[in-house]
Amino acid sequence: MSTQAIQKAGAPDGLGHYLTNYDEARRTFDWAAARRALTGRSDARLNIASAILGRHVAAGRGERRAARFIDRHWHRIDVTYAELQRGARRFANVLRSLGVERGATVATLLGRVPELFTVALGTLEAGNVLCALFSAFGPEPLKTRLQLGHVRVLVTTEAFYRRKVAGIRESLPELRQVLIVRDEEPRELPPDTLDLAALLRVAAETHETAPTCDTDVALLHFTSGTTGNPKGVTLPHAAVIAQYATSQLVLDLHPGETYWCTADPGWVTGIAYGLIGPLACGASLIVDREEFDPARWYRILAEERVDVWYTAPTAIRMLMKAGSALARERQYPALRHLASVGEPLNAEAVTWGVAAFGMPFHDTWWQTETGSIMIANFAACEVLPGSMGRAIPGIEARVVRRGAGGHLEVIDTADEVGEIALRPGWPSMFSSYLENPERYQAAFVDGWYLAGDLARRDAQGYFWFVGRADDVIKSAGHLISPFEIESALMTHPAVAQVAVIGVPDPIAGQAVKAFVELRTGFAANDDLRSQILGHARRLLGAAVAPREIAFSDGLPRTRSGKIMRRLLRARELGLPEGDLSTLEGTE
Amino acid sequence: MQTAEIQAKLLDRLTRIAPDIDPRRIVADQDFRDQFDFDSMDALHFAVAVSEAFGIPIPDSDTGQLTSLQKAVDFVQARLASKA
Repeated sequence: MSTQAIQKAGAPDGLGHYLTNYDEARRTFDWAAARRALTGRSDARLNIASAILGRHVAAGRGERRAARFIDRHWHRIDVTYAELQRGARRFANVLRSLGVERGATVATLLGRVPELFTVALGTLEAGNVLCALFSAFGPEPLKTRLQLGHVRVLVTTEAFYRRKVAGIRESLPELRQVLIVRDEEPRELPPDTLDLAALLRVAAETHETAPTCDTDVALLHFTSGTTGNPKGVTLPHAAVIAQYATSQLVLDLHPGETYWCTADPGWVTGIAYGLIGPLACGASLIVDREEFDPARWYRILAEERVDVWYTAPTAIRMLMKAGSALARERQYPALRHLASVGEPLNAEAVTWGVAAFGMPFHDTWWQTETGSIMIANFAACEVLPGSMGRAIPGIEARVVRRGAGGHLEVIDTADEVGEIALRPGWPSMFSSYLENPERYQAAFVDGWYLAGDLARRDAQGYFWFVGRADDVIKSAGHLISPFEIESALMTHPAVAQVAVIGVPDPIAGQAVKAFVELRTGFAANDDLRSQILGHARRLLGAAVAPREIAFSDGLPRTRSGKIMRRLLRARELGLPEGDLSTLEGTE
Repeated sequence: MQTAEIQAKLLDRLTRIAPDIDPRRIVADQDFRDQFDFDSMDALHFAVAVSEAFGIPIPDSDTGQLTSLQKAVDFVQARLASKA
């Protein structure tokens, strides 16, 4: 590769890296030892809340700061590990008082508020399943997920409830209770909801942690496929072992260090590395309640003396656009490790870290189904800008191709493109696609889990991202299903047919573009385009709806009538059109 | 340029990016994000649109000054005044 490797100067003063020698770590690492290090036990009894709160409190670290929440006006609220534990226990008792049976699903539709931690950890403490939903979703994606997840309790804010949930509540018969986090200036509670703070106030602070074991489902995250409903990915309580181990091995997070993960709590990163993994490490988390703002972010990194920062390529590229001069207006004496996740980090963004902060960003790769980081660049190792990094200790990752009879062949030739495959057996591996065993089974072939991402692996074992193996769109780090967007657009009276693809976007990686065929009697014009876009945004939410709509006289279809997104994408990007033998109208 | 004219132009650009917004219901001094779905990509596109509409450069470090209608009006007025 022509990419210039970024060498490391060695560990910072007084702190040894968790992983100092990659080959040695791969030889010596084992998951059973990681479990013992976290829980002090070898058996299968395991509860995430207990593993990340109980052990710190029991070891006399309860009064250490677990999290600092910063609001828009720079008011800071600090919470200790002991306070988190008391809050979690109160919420577990709230669930019992509401008659919520163990194993039922509790969803959150919240921003980065202190109550999110209370509810998330209390749900796990009680042996219930936590389903964190993305608050930028519109009513339609929320309805689908609340229904598929059989969500029993929803915790949200007054504003989100009124805007997104009240209108779909009737279609959610299984949703028995909605608990409201009141706004700063509370209005009357919406009908048929309860005040979370009032319930917590009267709940007891003692609770015996539910006796869950490592295979019990703890987390439900939704992710997107090309077709059909979103996939409900379940992760077991054992996921905490891998999230803890990777917070050490990859994020290099030491007890007491200040750590900031900018991910939204509605996605798997926001829970795995915005909450569980770093708390298990005994870190002190920074939680900014506001959205992206360059000047604000630099101020947080500097004033809060952040040691380790885990952010996303879209945010890094937005910071790059704002210029490294802005970054250099402040000093970051504590900052020592930068990592990124969500989509491939381009080489320029990796090296921009050196210009702005004096250190590169370390790309990491994983997905909802893997439950924790699988491939990464490490703090102690050289970074190849543009590379996803190497398989973490405890993980066997390769690229494969389908050979004769559908069997997999592991590609041993360096730099040949194939699909990323992981050997099953790590603790955070997903345990099911909710109510879809066929889809789950189809993800495993010949003893490998197939990730759906295409990559090449070089002679040193570094992976280089190539693209998705399917039509799923990745925009600003979020996996977006074209099917879900097309279904929403089809409900507009003017839309006869629609196809949705991802087009390159300099900031978001990909942006959603919809090609619309109109029904007879509707004229293609800016006003109609605006109406359709508004309709999509109302149903889907801003983060998922198309950014662009183009009118088309005839979408390319196969002879069986299926719209060829691949061909649309090729035409849009000026790429070779490939095999057109199945295209409708061809001889 | 009069305040009303600036405001009308801003609303036009805002609703082109987010046509789900009813301009009559916008509370001028409340952040867009607190009133409706408006994500950071929308904010970025809004800054570009405002820059083009008024012919004023808006560095990315200033996008934080366009988070509500009132702030956007104030920002544009100040920039136009300094240009004049």
